[in-house]
Amino acid sequence: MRRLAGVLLATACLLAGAARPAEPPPNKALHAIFDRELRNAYEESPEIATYLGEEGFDHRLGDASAQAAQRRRARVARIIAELERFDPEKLSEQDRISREVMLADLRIARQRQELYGKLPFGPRDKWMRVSSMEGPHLLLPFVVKATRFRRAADYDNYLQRLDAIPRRLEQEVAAMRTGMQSGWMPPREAMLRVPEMLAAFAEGGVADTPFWPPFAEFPKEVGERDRRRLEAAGRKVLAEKVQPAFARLKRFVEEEYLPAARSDLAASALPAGRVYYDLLIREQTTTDLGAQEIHALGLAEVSRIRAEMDRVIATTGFKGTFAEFLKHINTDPRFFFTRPEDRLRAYRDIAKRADAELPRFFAELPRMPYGVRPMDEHQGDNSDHYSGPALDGSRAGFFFANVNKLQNRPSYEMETTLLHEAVPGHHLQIARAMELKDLPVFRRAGGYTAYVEGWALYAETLGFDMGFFKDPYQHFGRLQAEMLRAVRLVIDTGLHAQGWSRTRSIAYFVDNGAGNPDYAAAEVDRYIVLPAQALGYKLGEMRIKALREKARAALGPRFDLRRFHNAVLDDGALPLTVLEARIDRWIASQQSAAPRAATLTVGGHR
Amino acid sequence: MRAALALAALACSTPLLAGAPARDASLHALFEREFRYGLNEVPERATFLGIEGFDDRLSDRSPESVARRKAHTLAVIAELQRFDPRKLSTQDRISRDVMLANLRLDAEEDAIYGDLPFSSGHSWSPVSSTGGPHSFLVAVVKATRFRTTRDYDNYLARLAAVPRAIDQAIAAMRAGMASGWMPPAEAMARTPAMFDLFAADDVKATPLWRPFEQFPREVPEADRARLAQAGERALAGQVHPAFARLQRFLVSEYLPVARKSLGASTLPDGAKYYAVRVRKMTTTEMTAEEIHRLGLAEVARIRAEMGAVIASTGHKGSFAEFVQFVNSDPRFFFSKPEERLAAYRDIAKRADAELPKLFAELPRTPYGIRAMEAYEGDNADNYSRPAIDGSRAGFFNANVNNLKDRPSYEMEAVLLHETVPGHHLQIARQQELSGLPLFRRSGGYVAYSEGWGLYAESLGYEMGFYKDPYMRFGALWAEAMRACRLVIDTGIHTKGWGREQSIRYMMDNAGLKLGFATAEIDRYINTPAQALGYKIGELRIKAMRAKARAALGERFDVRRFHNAVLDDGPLPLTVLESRIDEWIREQGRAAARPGRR
Repeated sequence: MRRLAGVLLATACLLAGAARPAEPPPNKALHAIFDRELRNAYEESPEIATYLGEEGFDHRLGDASAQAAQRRRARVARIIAELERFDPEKLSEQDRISREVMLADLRIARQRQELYGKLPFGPRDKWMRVSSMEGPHLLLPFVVKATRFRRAADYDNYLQRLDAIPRRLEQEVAAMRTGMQSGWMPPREAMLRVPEMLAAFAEGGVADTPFWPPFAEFPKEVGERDRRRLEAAGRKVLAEKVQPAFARLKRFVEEEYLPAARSDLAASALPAGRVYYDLLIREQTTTDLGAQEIHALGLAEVSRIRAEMDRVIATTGFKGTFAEFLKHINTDPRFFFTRPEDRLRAYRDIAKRADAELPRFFAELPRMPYGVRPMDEHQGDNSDHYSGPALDGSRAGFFFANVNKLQNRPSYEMETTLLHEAVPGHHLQIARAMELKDLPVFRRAGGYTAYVEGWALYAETLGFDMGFFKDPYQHFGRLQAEMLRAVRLVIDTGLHAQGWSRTRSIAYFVDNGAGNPDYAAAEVDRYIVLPAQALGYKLGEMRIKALREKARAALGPRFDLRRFHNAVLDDGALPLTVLEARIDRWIASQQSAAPRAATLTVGGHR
Repeated sequence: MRAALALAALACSTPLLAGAPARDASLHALFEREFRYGLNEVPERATFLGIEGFDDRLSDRSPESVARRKAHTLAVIAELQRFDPRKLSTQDRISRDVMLANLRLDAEEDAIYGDLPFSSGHSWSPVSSTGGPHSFLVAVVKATRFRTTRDYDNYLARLAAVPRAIDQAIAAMRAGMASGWMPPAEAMARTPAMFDLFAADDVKATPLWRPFEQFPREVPEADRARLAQAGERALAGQVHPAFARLQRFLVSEYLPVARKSLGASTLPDGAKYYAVRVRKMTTTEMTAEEIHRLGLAEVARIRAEMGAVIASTGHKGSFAEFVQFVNSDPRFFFSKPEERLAAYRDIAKRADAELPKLFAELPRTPYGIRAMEAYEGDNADNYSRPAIDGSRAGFFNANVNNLKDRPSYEMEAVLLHETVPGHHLQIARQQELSGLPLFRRSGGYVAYSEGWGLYAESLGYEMGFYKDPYMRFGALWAEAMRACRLVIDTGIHTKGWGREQSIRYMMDNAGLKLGFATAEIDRYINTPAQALGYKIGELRIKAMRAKARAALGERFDVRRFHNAVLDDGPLPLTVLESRIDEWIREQGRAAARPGRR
């Protein structure tokens, strides 16, 4: 062993010596740009700083005016020029990736801007300011939850931020008016639920608004006198400024914006035509796939998964039709919990079983643990979701499990959901990325739908080797989750590039067993509101699976799944095209590496 | 890759750093040699640590091997003494101190046995009601990785070595019979029955058979029948007959001549033997008398707290009636094993989420919770460590048998002790300290490890546990048991306490039920001083925390304090105390430099 360790060290020293001239140190000028841009992102979107736990921005809201949008538009071109001046050949590997990733994002942003001409819109400055999926009514409560309320000063910051809401909402209205004048208008479907959603912010007692909870419970550190003062100030700003501002926004949506919404659904019907949807596909999938290809891929996946579903149903001994089976598993009491704490406990049970399997699948795991918590009752039917850890490691990640309305939540979906949201899915990937301390923050905290959701869907498939899905209903639950992501390929492209109607989309969704009609309607509306967003899941997963197969074929007995998974995770979230190039290089490095040494020496290496 | 290069660069450039002495290469060569020596002598250790290449063997305890080990201990002490501690780096100095302290304690115990075939690593009492070759073998099998045909062939070779190991144990017991090193009869009565299953004709009922029941994908169909047949042959032809021999020997020869007295002080050179055991198990200089008095004070304090908690539940009867109530009322019991398992996992997941608030840097290796086997009966819940290279998780083995004997009020404290922030967190962190020599990454002390486990139970109050008064009672109950141990262990081995007296004391003061109390007392009789480490370790860690908080005031950061306790791996408590003193000084200095940590 001693000899082996000695040899390893000597080899490493040799490598380090030999590699040093070839591998340049981190480029200071480049990192100065990264730091400056991070700072700028905090300045432009103080909400992001709050979310990442960065101090000093909690008293502000981002400027959503046309002027600010034009300022951000101009900055994109400037940074592209700046980054282009660096010679990638002279950068270290990680610096090269960082530059490439930031450039790719900016170039797509520039293309988006070009579509809008001189209008004050861009990828961050959306023309669709308020919808059932996005807008201040969804963003602001999220920001409140991420805000740290520890002492009186935090509350004073919060009061300032609340005070800024009216101005922010006026800016949103102004942008929507620009949309009305220029034809950048959402389909009616996207907007129908919005007035009702805004009502919660505009009407009733201030203590019922989502902005109130911080005043309902103060931390120990805030004294009695401060509490009275802060609570009174909170009451005042909410009643006199925030609620009236939301009421104005609601009136505008009802009386002006909604009546002017368009009656067609497709993103290709917007002023920029089909180009717009194609660009969104590139942005969301981080691949060069076209709508047509994606549609065909979706159809093939749907029929493959559908056949698997039939096989699994047969193993349960069920005798009726597919539709009858779906009805059976959504109504039979054995698939439902009657007490919220039982469902929570069942999730924690799955979580702990999953935790124990991870060392067999990853060469190096993140340090950060995660918890499983119930969602608040007022969140109603919101879906189970994951909330990331603090970037500085002081707060765990959390899987928020919906344990409301238990009659709508069958147990057969639970293994899949946990694996997706917690480990080896979102928590593992996001915690790992955050802990990659050598990378610039935008790579540690950033994400791409295709990578992040593709990874989580891929994580679901690892369940088989982790000892899950032994129960045929849990197995079916996984297939249903996969089916959901497959029909999205078909329906999203159907809606936006092939003239599919809402009715046809819903029927396709239901017929293929992706979910019941209510769920189907909500999903289809989501695809209408956020074109191309739902494509990332399945495409990302398929790419990761393809990369695994490629590596396995190329490396044969040298293929180590634990190291492959770390290779996918250890550069943080990447566009899929960049990830593919990275994995190609990883395969080459594994081919040239010496055969693996004894187990003991493996630890600590990647 | 980049990280590896950076590391390598660091390793290469270390000698160029001026100031602190470099890592001493010849000292580390010694550490590595000794670590490897330890694996060769006790190949089962390699299996527990997940180190390849030793899974086909069992350790050899022939008289020659014992004598060789004793001589080796003395030789290594001499070798280590030749290094000048003043010329070593801080960590090298600690490593040397720690290894020397361990070897000296071993040598001290070895000396007591003279030329007898016993040593600190070869017990004169290889079978007791607390355990024997059967339970050790089961633990080994649980830690063994069965992935390939080769793993199975290794296992078959190991099974073939079982008869020799058992015959050597019998020979050692015969040597004990001849020399007066005999266990007390009172604590041995239950031992023969422990081997019923392992000596039976049915060889498929023990976990030794379990690996042949389910093969991993990587073992080809063609190999499976051969391996299973060979396994059955080894168990039926060699292993079970050997256990049957051991059982016969116990009944017809050994037990009839067991000693009538209880205390270790009645053994040959008994007083010295117990004093050495106390030093080894507490890693302090405390005497039996001091420990006894400390125990009495702790028992009184905890007992009063229990009284207050009982009152808060509205219970009106006596302490004994309350104990009776919480051990019989159905609301404290599960009816299905999987429910108790799920309840443990529920507690575990709540605990996981709290850890970032208490630790500045956590280990990477996760842990799982699995059910103990039905045949393991009433064995205590326990923890299995992860592989040292991180390829296998740690496991809390939860007893979900005989559910009517397992009240729920104990579960929060047990989980926190065995997993996080207790044993798993400490051991996983230790194993991941890749800068330390392997003997420090894999070693341990009862006082440090169990002291940490008990301290971890007390962290439950800060983590949001024990809100339920019965869970709170469970935490106190567990603490009271550890305090009683101080009183009883020293009572039995230095004050002539009897078995009945000890059982009664445990029941009256900690509220243990008769069966549990009896098993506990037999354990103290069988393994003198072992049970002292828990409470003493916990009290020392708490005292260090209070000291650091008082010294650092506002600058005290509990997350960093916990890492300071863990980040050198297990240490004798005396060494740990001086390390924490240094840490306090460093923190004081660091705070004086604004912007630096």
